[in-house]
Parts: sequence; C-alpha cells; structure tokens
Amino acid sequence: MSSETAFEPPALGSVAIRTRRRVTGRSILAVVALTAISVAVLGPILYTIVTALEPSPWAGYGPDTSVAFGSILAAWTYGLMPGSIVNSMILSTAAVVVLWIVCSMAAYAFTLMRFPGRELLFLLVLATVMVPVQVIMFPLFIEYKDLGLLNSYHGMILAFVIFGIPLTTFQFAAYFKTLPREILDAARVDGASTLQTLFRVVLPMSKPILAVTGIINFVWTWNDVLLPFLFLQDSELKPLVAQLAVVTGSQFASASTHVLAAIALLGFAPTVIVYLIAQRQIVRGITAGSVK
Amino acid sequence: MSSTRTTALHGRRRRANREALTALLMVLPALAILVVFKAYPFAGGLIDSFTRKDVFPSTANYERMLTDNVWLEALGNSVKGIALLPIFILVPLVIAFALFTGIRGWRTHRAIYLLSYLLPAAMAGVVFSLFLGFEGPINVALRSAGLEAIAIAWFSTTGTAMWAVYALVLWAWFGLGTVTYLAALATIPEEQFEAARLDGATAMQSLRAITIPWVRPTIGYWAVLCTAGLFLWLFPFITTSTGGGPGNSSTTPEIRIWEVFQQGMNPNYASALGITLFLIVLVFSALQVRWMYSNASES
Repeated sequence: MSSETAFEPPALGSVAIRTRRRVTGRSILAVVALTAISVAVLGPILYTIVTALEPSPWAGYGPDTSVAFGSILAAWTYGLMPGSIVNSMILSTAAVVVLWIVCSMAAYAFTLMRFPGRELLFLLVLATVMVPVQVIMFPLFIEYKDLGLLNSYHGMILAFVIFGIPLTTFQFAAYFKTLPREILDAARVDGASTLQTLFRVVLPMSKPILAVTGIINFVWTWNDVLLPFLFLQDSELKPLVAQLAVVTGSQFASASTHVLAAIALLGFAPTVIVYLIAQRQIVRGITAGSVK
Repeated sequence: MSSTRTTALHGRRRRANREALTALLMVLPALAILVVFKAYPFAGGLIDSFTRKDVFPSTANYERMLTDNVWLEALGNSVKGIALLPIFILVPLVIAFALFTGIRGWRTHRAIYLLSYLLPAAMAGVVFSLFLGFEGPINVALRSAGLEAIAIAWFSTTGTAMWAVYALVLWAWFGLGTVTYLAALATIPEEQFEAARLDGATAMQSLRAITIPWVRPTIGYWAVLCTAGLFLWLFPFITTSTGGGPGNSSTTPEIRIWEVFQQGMNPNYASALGITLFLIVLVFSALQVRWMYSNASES
C-alpha cells in the first residue's frame, strides 16, 4: 500500500547526500529556518500553558482564581469537568465504532460484491461529501427536532455518522480493493456467510485501515464544535471542546487572560497527550489517502 | 444434458440474485442515513430557498442576498482567503522540500508542525487570540523594539481581524500540508534521482524535472482541501477568536449562515445562503481539479 511506504523516512537519497556534501551554508540556513518554524508553533502553546498556570485576580464572583492553580480550577468548573470529557469520550468512541460498522459493510459490498447499480450508488455516497452541514443547517435542524433527536447522545452520534460516512466509506473501499481475492473465496467455500466473511476474515486483516479511519474520526469528532453547537443545547451533554468554546464567550472567562489560557490548556491537553503517546500512528492516519 | 445446463444457469442466477440482495442490505444503512439526513434536507433546503412567503418558485431569497451587506462583506472576506491560497499551498511545500533533504532533526520538526493542526481549532483560536492579544507577547516584543504604533489588538481591530484569523489558520494547517507533501515525496523512486545524478543534473534540475512533477497531483489535492477548508472549516477558529467582529470585519459566509440560523428568523433565506455557499465551493473545487488535470496532461 502506498500509504505504508509513504511513512518510511524519506530515504537519505542522492538529493540529501548531495546537499550535505556540497552546500553546508544552505543547509545551515534550512536548519535555522525549520527551527524558527518549530518555535513559532510551540511559542503560542507554551505561552498559553505558562499563562494558565498563573493565578489571576479574583473578580469577586465564580471560583476563586487568585489561589495557586486558581485559573485552571476556574476553567475546570466552567468546562463542566469531568462530565464534559466523559461526554467527549462517549460521543467520539460511539461515532468511531458506528462508522466502522456502517462504512465497512457498505465498502465491502461496493468493492467485493456484484449488484446492479453498484458503481452509481458508490458514486452517490461519495458525492454527498459535497454537502457539508452549513448547506443544510436549517432543514436538518428541523428534521432533528421533528424526530426528537435534539439534545441526546444518540442524535449527536448520528450527526457525526451522517457527516463521516462519505470519507470513511471511501477509505475502507480503497483498502478492500487491495485485499487478495483468494482469501475471500476460501472463506466462502468454507461456507461462511457474507457478514461472517466481513467480520471474521476481512476486518481482522484490515487493522491498518481501522486505525486510520478510527484516528481520523476520533480526532475530528473530539475537536468539532459546530455540530455539538447545533444539536446539543444542554450544557450537561456537551463534549469538552464545545463546552469550553461556549465558555470563552462568557463574561466570567473573557475577563481574565489567565482563565482563557487555562480554558485553552484544558481543551487541548488531552489531544496533545494522546499525540505524544501515539505520534507515529496519528501521522500515518492523518495523511492516509493523500497519496495515490 | 441441456436440462442440467439450464439448472446450472438457474443456480448461478439464483446465487447472483442472492448476492445482489445481500450486497444491497449491506449498503442499506449507509444509504438510508444519507438519503434521510442529507439528500432529503438538501432537497428541502433547495425548495425552501426558492420559496418566499409560501410562493414557489420565487427568487426573492437570492435577490435579497445581493443587498445583504453582511453577506457581501462575508463573501469579500472569503475572497481575501482565496487570495492567500498561494501562501497556503507554497509554505508547506517549501517546508516539505527542506525536510525532505533529510536535514538533522527533520522528524522532530515534522512532529512539532503537526501539533498545531491537532489542537482543537476552537482552542487554537483562544491560544492565538491571547498570543496576538493587546497585552500578548508579540505586542510586548514590538513595544520593547520601539514599534508601539503596530502593537495593536490584532484580533479586535477592524482592518486586521480577518488577516489575523488567516494567520491563525495558516499556523494551524501548514503542518498537515507539510506531512501531506512529505508523504508524496517519500514515494518518489530512488532510481530517478540516481539516474539524474549520473546524467550530471544539479539538485535544482532534479527538483524541477523529478520532484515537482511528482508532487503536482498532491499540490492539487492540497489546494482543493484548502479551498474547501477556507470556505467551510473556519467556524471554530473564528468563534473563539474574533466571533466574526469587530462589526462584521471577520465574518465569513459560514459565520453569517450560523448567525441567520441562530436568529431563527428566516429559514428560507438561510437555505438560500447555504445553497449559494455550496455552489461556490463546488465551482472552485471543479476549477482546481480541471487545472490539475490540464497541468498533468501538459507535462
């Protein structure tokens, strides 16, 4: 698979060797420039962390921010922690799992089975990626309201699934096309039903694409705010990032840069920690599909 | 003999029918969700957008758009973003080329560059508005360098708010572009560089003859992604940094749609705005795909 080879280190090939041999001046310049860019990425993040750790003058209402870690405690309270992070985990995990099931089934049929209208239907599924939520915001909201899906976990999970289907189905289909046919035929000869073949034979062979789609959908659903803003009015149900994003607009938080920084820190800390642990897999997952 | 063949044919056809039925059942969940929650509201929105006070068809909603100053300003703000597209495309490309030379510590740099992309966009908005805030470190540095005049509140000054948002978006996205280009660069067969070197090509010649043609499809892919993103994915950045202000100076079409939605006054008008945004993104993406193909066939 191309995306596998894509993450081998760019071989220190002739270009690299030549550059190193010939022009050290230019490569020093490159090191300086690349380091400056790294500093530009880390600077705002580190500044936020330092600012968040400082207490700030107490405005006289809300949590006392003037004690040690007071800003973080305030952000913790405004962010409705730890409930909001539990919401995030439930919503993102469920969305990932449902998308795995729905999209792997569809992709399996689209790539490995024969039926009339197969290509047209596949194209239609992919084409729906052209309809983002902004385009259908009002009618979809009304539909959600009529069906009683507003303000519920299952409605929120469904929303993530609706907008995740095209890309995830595409990614599964691209992977399934590379699977050796013989194994599937062997499973069929052994009398396995189609669903058994998918769940017992194909998916266990598909760990790379399960990882890729899982990471992409988890990061996206974890970070998204527009869909939660739209479909969850109840603060108790909101995921972490959406809840914190709402709070930044409140007078409590916006009064203090320290509290704002603490809110940002609380919002990005889980992502950063997971990234530090699983950096290699995440880099692979994020860029899969960009190389044909 | 012929009867057994007929039975065999029947059997095969029956098996084919059963396979088709199973296949349709397997695509059904995905299809049903898309039809009920995407196609249906899209069709509904399309009809709504051409309905005015229960009169259908009517182009009143689209006409109103032409005199909606907030919407026009929002479109103008998107044009600013599109004007910056070359920067969004080239900055990660140049960085990827630099990393690809296998410079010392390239792996660490790559890891750091992707960090700003992975931060939740809404939180990146907070981070950047603090960093570029009136009392933020950038302004402190500017003041200590004697540049008080430009140490302004970047995110809350009419003339700079939109540009500050785009700076934030570039900060957040360039790392994704860089790893995307790197992934493409890593698939270039080593022999091509080898052959070029034996032919006595310079590094610059290799870059022009091998590397750039190889990554051209990826440039197209990234350009389409950025275009769609500039129109459709700025909401979280803006909502926690400028909120679309001051005034409407950093309001983009999607922010305007959200405002109209929140005011809850005119669903039909909101649908017309949504459909228009859909068409704009469609046209831009189609143009870019065409540009990609025409370039590919020329080379």
